[in-house]
Amino acid sequence: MKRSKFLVVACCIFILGLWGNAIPADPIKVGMALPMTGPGSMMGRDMRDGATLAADKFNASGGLNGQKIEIIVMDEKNQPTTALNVAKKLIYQDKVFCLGTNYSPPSIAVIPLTKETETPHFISGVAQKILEMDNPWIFRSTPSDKVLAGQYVNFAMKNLNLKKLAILNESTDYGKGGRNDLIDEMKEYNTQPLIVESYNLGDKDFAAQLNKIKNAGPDGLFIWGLYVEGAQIMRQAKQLGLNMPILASSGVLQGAFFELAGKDAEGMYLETYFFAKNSAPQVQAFVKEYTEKFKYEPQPGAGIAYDAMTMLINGLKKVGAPDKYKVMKEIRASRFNGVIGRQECDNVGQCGRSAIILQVKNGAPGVVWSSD
Amino acid sequence: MFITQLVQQVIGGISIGAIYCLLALGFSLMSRAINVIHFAQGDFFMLGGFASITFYLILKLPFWLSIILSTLCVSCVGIAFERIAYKPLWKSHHVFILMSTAATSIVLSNSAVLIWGPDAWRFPRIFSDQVLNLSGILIPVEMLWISISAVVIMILFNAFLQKTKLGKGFRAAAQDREMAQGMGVNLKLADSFVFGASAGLGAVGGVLVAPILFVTPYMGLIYTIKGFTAAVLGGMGSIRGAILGGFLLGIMENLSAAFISSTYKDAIVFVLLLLLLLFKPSGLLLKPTVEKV
Repeated sequence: MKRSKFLVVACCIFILGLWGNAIPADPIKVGMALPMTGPGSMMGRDMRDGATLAADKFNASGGLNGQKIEIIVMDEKNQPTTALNVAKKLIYQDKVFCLGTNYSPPSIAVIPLTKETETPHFISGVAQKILEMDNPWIFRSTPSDKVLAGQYVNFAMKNLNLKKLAILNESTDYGKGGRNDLIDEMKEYNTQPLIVESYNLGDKDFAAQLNKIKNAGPDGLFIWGLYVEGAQIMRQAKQLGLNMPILASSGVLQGAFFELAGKDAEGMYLETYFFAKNSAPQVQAFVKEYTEKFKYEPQPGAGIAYDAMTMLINGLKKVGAPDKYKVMKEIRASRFNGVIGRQECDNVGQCGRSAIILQVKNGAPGVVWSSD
Repeated sequence: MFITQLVQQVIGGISIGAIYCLLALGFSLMSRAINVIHFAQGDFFMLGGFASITFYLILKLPFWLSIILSTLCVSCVGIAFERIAYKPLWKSHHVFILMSTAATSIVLSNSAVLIWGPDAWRFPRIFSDQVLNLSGILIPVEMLWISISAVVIMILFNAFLQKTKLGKGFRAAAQDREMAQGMGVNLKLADSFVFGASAGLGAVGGVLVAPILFVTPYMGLIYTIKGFTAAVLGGMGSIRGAILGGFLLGIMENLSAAFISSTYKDAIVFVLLLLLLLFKPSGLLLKPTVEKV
């Protein structure tokens, strides 16, 4: 009796053991702390969908020897404190292999955490400060704001011949960083901004700042902020008679900016790194696949996440296993033409290199300058 | 040149101030009638904006009808919350009703996210694009429309309270509940009126402002704070104070931004408010009242 019972138990354990091996390994989790609500929520959606497209393609082709990527999205409302809490949950509880964050202020709040926990971390926020935080685990597919601001100033002063420039920036790390980068580049031309004004994220009325700017008499205005405020600023600028060229940062060209701004966007310049009508083959393929899958055209945020995931996936494929040390090394060695331009990572994690300047003419944006 | 700038900023302040007036009125009404500061006031403003988007943009009704329907619907929501969230807490400590209004704010803003999504909505242009130019001072025509409409609504509302029997009854209930009841005022109706009217005033503000701002589900909080500040400035509980406070707040904001600092304009306004409260705690228009024990 005892012997047969022992045999039954042994068989069960043997079968369970076999069965255990037949169950696919745990998925490779990618946690994304994104603004799904609050100011800037459209970019959260864009990044989620861009990342999902990359992950689904990878999983459909078999994943990493059967191991699939699983994306976990959590809402951080574009608030640094919420982002930190969300990131902690994703890293400590969900044990994600890689973390993704969006705008600069929440990203900056999370960087010390990913440094301490040695978690690969992709970021879309363009603030220069991010590269100065000494975290060897970050990689950024968007170009640095220092580069974006620099190229914008060059364009304004050399191509448009503007001499007296005004700046209107968001009071966050993103807006202030951009303002500082613009001022630094202007120093190269031995000049400084005529007037600098700022506003808070979520503000609805900009008449006071715009009137002040108008009175100073600049021949060009830089706007450094996000799309809802950007659209409202364009609207009021037109009303209050600010007719000088307006150059808006990449944060303005996100989400439904063109829908919100309507014909108030006419004539303005926008800086970006992704343009859906870009004829490069990888961009066209991406736009086609994305539109088919999600039934709407991709915005820059989607391209950012897609290229970041591409770097992660390429790293996983090269190493053959989710070994974060080896994969990070491969990520930092990335060299390819991504959907948002040239990706070549340097030793501080800055991968994105390209910039495009658009101008809205007759209701449609067209490229007026490109770094490639 | 300086005068032109000054006048331009003041006019901008009056324009945005008209909106603050409507919000402040709602606050003062609540505070006077039932001694409650309604933390969800700005969210009714937001709901008004979304309601008008639904009626005008989605259901394609004429704008004037959208205004009326939006105000009525949001007023009903206000009354509904009175029945569900505040009435049951009537007998308990003041603080609980206050917390309940804060909870209402969370419920309303998150419901808005569920119904209309988390992103900004654009309202089509209703008012003319034109901008009047009076010797260098620019006044967008739509701001004129909105300010005048807001003022007209406030005058009509005040007339209702002062001249009609119903209005007088509600004012009596606000002053002394038992006495008013003794004189035949229907208290239940009076309470519903207060909530409905506050929500409605907020909603009207939202509807008027929707064509010039982008409506987002979380915009309620900023307007709650602005409306509250304006009401306190003029004297919480005073109708005229709310109107003065609203315009004054708009002007103070614009002048601070223009002549001191645009980054700190909100902080400056709050500092000024604190100073005012130190010297005149009841606000500008009210005489200090002593609470009778």
